[in-house]
Amino acid sequence: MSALLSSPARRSRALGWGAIVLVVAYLGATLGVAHGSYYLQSLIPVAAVFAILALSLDLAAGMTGLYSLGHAGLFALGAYATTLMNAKFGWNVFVMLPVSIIGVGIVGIILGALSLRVSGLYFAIMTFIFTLVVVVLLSDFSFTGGLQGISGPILPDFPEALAFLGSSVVWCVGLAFLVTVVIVWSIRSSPLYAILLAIRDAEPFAAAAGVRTSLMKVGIFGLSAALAGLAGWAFSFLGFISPGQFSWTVSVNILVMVILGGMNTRLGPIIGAIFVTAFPTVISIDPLIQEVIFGAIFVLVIVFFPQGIVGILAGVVRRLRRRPLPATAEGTIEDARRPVADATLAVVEHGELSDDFALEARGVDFGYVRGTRVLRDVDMRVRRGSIHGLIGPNGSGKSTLVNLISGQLHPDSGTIAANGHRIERLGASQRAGRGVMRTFQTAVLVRELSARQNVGIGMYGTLHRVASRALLWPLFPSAHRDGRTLAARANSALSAVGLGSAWPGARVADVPHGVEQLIQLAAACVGEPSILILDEPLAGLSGGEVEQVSEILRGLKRDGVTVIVVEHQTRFIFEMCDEVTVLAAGELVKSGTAAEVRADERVREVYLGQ
Amino acid sequence: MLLQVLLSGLAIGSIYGLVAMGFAVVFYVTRVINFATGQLLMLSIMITAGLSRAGLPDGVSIVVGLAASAVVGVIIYFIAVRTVLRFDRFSFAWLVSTLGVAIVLQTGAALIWGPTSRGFPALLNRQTIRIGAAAITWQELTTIVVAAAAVIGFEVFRRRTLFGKVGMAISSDPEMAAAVGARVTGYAVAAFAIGGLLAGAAGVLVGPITYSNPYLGDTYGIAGFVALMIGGIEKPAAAMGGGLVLGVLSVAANTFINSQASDWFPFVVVVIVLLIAPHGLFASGNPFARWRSSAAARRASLGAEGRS
Amino acid sequence: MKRMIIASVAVAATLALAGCAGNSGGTGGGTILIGGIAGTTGAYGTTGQAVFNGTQMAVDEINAKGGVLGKKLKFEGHDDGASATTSSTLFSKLLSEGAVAIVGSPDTGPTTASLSSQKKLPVIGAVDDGGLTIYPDGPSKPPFPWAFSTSLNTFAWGGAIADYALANCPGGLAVLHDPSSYGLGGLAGIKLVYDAKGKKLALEDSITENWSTGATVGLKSEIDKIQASGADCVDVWLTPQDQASFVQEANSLGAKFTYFGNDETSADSTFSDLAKDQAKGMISALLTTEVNPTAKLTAFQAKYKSTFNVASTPFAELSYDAVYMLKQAIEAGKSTEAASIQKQLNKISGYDGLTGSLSFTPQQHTTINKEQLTIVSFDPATNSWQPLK
Repeated sequence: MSALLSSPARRSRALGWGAIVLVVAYLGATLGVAHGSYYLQSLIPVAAVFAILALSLDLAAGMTGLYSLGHAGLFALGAYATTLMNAKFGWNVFVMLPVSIIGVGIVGIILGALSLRVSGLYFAIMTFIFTLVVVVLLSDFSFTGGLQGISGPILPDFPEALAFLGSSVVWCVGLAFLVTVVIVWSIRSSPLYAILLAIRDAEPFAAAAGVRTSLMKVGIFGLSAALAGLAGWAFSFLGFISPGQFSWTVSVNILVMVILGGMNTRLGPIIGAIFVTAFPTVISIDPLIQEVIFGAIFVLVIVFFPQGIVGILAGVVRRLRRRPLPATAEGTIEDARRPVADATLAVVEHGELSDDFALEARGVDFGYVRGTRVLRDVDMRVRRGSIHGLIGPNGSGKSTLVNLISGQLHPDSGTIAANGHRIERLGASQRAGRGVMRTFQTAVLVRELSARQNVGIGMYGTLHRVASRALLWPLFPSAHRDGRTLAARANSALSAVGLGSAWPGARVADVPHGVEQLIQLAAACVGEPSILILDEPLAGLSGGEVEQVSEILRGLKRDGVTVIVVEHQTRFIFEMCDEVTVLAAGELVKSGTAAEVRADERVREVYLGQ
Repeated sequence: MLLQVLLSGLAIGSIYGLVAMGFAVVFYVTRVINFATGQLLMLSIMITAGLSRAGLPDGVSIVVGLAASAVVGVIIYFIAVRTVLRFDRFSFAWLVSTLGVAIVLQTGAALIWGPTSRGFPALLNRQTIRIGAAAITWQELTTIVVAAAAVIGFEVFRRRTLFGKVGMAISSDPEMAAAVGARVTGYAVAAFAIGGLLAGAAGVLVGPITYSNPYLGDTYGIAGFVALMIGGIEKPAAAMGGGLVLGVLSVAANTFINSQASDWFPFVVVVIVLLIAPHGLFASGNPFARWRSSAAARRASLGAEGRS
Repeated sequence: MKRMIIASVAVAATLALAGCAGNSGGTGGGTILIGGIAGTTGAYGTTGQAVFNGTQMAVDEINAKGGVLGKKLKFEGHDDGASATTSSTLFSKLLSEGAVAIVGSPDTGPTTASLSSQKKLPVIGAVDDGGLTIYPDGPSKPPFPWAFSTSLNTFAWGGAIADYALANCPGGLAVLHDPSSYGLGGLAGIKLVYDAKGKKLALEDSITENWSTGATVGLKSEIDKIQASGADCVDVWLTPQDQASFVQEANSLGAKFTYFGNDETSADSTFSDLAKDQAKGMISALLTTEVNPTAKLTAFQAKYKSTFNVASTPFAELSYDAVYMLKQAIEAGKSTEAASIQKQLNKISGYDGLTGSLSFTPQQHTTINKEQLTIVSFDPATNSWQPLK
């Protein structure tokens, strides 16, 4: 779907036509409703307002994984601020537009900051409480009209010259809807989309690629809140506002709209919003029976079509088109049969070892719980341009040390320096900025995206101003150019690890484990790290894939990249590495050249003897 | 006055706590929040009241009401939760499906029994005990006793039987648990049945003062949920603690601040609790130790290979 | 991508066409449309249903006698589910269809009353039962100019009860009410009487309650406060469920009060069914025409029962009255224009309705006042409300 996939001129021209058709359709529809009956004019704008809310929630929850039950509260703040400022202080309604958006956005930023402290479910609960508090406050004060509510502000009609356009309220809501759609769909088409999904599904991966995940989460939630504030502003012109219209059930309804319509899709939230809003008004049978049917539909759709209404439609279309699923390349079946023990490893020149240390860790102490020690006074020095192995029995603290170097953890005492700079106090994304990148033992990629998009995440650091341009991505010519560059570099990175031809476009969920590992490797390399840490890169790989990895290491060494490899497969380590560090029970046992370490008595006792 | 506040608070708090436990037991095993738990409370009230009106003795009506809540709880598992979890363990789709069930139950009850409040057997609510200047009805006393029994009973059940140990395993990794032989479905059914039973018990205990009304599910569902947040979602015993705290604080707020304070005061409490101890006051021990050890636990889970 | 464009275009085209098509609206040649908005589902569904039934009976009778100005009346009632949003949508819908007036809403009265001013369309009949809904600034200030209520209202009940309490409660009157305009209206009605006599209430306290279920926390602490204030009478201005609950709790604490209710207490059997024997002695007020039914009222109630299979309630009766008053206003001005109807309604004086002798003036937009009420108390032996004094 992304515009950045394969974009010959024909594709962008097709998109251009599509956009024009959509715009014309939109204008026609708005004009029609603006001249329509009063009934249409109340129903459609309400549906549009909830579509804005659903889209904003999909941005936060569907794309970034921040499930919020607070959007009704944010919605209420926008509506009440506009109404009260206009009614009690005489502020112009158009002045209230930026005030609502920015004000509610700031509240969203505060709430978003909370999400950094508590995980998914608890965050949802806190936002739920937020809505409850807002509604209680609105109900208990006569200043806000109390339980009864107050009349919304009146939007001025169009001046004479534009009177042909019809109802100004319809155009107002319609424009707010259009702006929301443009922003949310632009983000979907931009590289930011892949990054948000990564934050949702694979946060360590995103952080390791240099994405400042905390800032992103807060920022996206703030944007989502700002859109909810916009919805509130528009809603206040629809007649009457009272606390009952913003209760926690409304928050849940918005989430239901998103899930029912189809989470994380372009049209899903809009369809969901229309369905939930229109159902009670359009289906006029005995209201109690209608509500029972409504509830039953929730259950049935979700149970049988967990991907929502959009999922149903997509399934129907797929059956009509009979599109085959992507086939796997033949090469892998051959590789899978080759046992690991027979793999022929690439030849690496262990030449002169440089005196310049790319990474120096001194006196590192660490314990997960106060009082215990997982690492005790560990030193590790890695020469620039070398391949350095890190081995040790299970529980020796290898992974912990890797996490300390790459930034997932911070040492209790000791120092770590990369390229001469002290990094032990920096976060993971900041260390990525300093050229320290890593892969993870169990590949944590975004399963619903393609290999190419995942590798694109690795390039986050090299792209300028992705986030700010994402809001209007398709409108920036520079964006198209950057998108194409991104795609091209991702393709070549994947080719470099042996995944050419059909692989870049394949979904990660569909590829075998070994390929996933290679994709991860490509993603780490494409960011042009100076120090690359590979955490058990051979786990679960077949013989052919191990050979591939050894080729890659050889290539990296030639390019001057310093590589640290954590592995269990000792043959690989002793053949590929220049130097090796051995850990056991949290302490350094031996560090030296591969030959030295292999011959060492203590090492044999501690490790190879097992 | 303080004694009255304490007694009344514990009584209503026990109701909240039972509902909260209803949520928590289900969450404990399946990691799902059953949004229809409040409606299960309502169901036992409606059935008990309906049968009593039809002439059956109170005892029989109550037993049938409780059984109904437990059975419907299990039905909810099969219809709305199991299929959803099978598709994707991590999605929040159960939110939509259990909510749908809640709407169906509530509106269905309104269709069957009418939307207005009708009577409920007075049970033990007419007799009062006086302790000093305070008074407590026998019904309220029974409520507190039942709540205590529920907590103790559950803890014993959890420690002495395999349920507790297996329960945690199932909730964190059902495939793995099934692979080692745990009968996942069986445990989930038990969890939903117990959850329904607890909510049903709360219904029968609070019925005499609320009378029977199909919309009670919303009110008590929310209250139970807030209690759950205060006490802690991970352990059902903590949920009861949260309920008691909520009950006493609400009554105290009403008495000492002003009559509308019970609207907002509990939420202020919840917000403060969530900021200091996000996993609940009673999750384990003192909130501050909880905070530090939860930070450590986060680091530990990073160290565990693979998952972060 | 293409799929999406096609889908979006389809939706947009539908909207555009619907817009052009649905533009006309307006009454079909030979009928006059009366709209209805009320909550016919939910906790107070029976009230809404009664409003619609009463309205329909009036419409059918009038049509049988030839209609109004030679045209038949058509009544279109819709459920607002007690939701302000739905009520707004329905109001606009009925307006677009050419309704000349709207009956309702007993549940979202504040919304319909407010919209009546905004859209300049008369709203009549059961417009909530809160006096403050019609007189938003208080009983001595002007009402919403386009809202004409024939409904039971809190000013009337509050006033009647206050009169009785002044004479019969030496220890003082405590008032417990909910914070909505319903409860505040009752309080305003009571205070109007007390202030006029220079007296103060022993206690006034507002409690939030859940409208559907009535479930409220903290009645015991209220009871303690009331006892501390020395009052011997309590007006529990809450829902019937909470009134029953209050009486039960007070009895369990051994408190001895004289209990007063509000218009809902005696409007149906909810309170008496729930409170059972404890309902004895609860004091409320009924329309004098209910206590001493006229022949006209008795005939109406019989016909209502045989048509709808349920007993009539005041909400049906006052809606019936409202439609007839509307008819009178249309005929007097010989027009269905909104402004004419408004003008003529303001001139109706002494209309003989089921609920009493009814009048509107520009300053008075409620037909039921405390003079039209009789104080009653509940007698469990006969399961009925009997007049006092």
